[in-house]
Amino acid sequence: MSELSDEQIASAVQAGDSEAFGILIERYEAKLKRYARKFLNYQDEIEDLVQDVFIKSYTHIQSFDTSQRFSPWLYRVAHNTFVNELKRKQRAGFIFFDADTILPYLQAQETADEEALSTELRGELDSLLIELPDKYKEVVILYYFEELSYQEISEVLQIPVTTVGVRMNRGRTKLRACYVQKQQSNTNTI
Amino acid sequence: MNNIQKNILDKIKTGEVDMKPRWHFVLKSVLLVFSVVTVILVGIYLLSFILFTLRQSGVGFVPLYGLRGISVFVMNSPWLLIFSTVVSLVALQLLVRTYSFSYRQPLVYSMIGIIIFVLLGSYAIGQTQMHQQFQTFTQERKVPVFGALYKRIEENRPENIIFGTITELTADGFILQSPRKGTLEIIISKETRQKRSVVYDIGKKVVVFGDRDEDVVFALGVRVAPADLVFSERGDWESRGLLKDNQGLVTSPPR
Repeated sequence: MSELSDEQIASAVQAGDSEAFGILIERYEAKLKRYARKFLNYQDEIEDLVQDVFIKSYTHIQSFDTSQRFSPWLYRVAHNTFVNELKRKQRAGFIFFDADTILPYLQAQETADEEALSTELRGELDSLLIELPDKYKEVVILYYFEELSYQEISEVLQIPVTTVGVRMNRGRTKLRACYVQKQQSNTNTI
Repeated sequence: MNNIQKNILDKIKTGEVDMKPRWHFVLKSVLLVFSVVTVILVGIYLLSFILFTLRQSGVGFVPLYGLRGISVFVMNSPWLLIFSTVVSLVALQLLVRTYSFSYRQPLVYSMIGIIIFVLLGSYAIGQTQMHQQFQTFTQERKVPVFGALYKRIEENRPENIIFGTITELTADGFILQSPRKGTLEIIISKETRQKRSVVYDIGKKVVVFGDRDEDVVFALGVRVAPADLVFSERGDWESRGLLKDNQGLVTSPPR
């Protein structure tokens, strides 16, 4: 069973093999915990939230199309759960449409992105993430930590691929600015 | 087996957590499609009805006649219906946004797509006699809601928009027989906006926009009434594009 793909296991769960769902939990628990920690920026209740994500995935598994990839679908469930949690905590209002998704942008180049973030900056990414607004932070996490493609991030967040690119660029720009600021303050301290 | 895994599998085994059946999601999809189709039809109906109302009340013609015309247009446009149409378009956008073909595109594209689709649908409805037939039907029978909508078109026609038939030509203009407002003298002056090529003949049906002083109207604009205009009071079937058959039933006009 453990050699099977996520989609094959999800198909088995749909057919009634509920034990198989345990394998999916095993494969994604650590990833979802990391995603939750970085996105929500706190440690409390992470276990409960991730459990909630898996329970929701199980109850809704019949809506999963096994011809598609499982991970973006699961991350979509996680994204919704975490956003609801943020709204609950921050009492954020309901936004009809995000300004980033309204206008068309030039097609983002995914291939250049890896190079765009320097190795040095990558090392600091964890501590710099806290400075980013949620919408940029989530794209950066999904791309650099969860290693989803732009297309997959677009499916998870249900936004255009070009918007993913725009948020990634803005996120990186802000990260660089934070990094430079941090370096300068370190130099001044010395 | 770790904590989360054990907890969840235990909950599944005890039935505390259960998967929703496939039909639940199929039903949800069907309801979503049904909602989308309903909102599209409502949007198309509302927009086509607004265009029909503007045309039949004459309000749609008056912006061509300068600032006064624009002012009358703004004051007499069916704003509640326009607002309802905008609401239906936003609702449609929200519903459609759940589909990947929509959220993969920038919002502006799907909004333009929806507007074009609803405009084309309204145009197609405008090419039929649907609203004329609805109007006749609601005048013949008591129809809740729709009856009031169609009745208000003629009731809300502004005082300075007059529909009628030319009965006599005069040195300054013509005499107009209006079904609602009786016989009126129309004065055409330099201030009257009209097509240069227009020729006024006795029997021609026209729409006049102007200032009325008792039985005299100083025209600010005149245009020949389009053939499909609901032109007069009840019973003028021919001008409605409708005819009565031998049994008195309303039928479509021969083409």
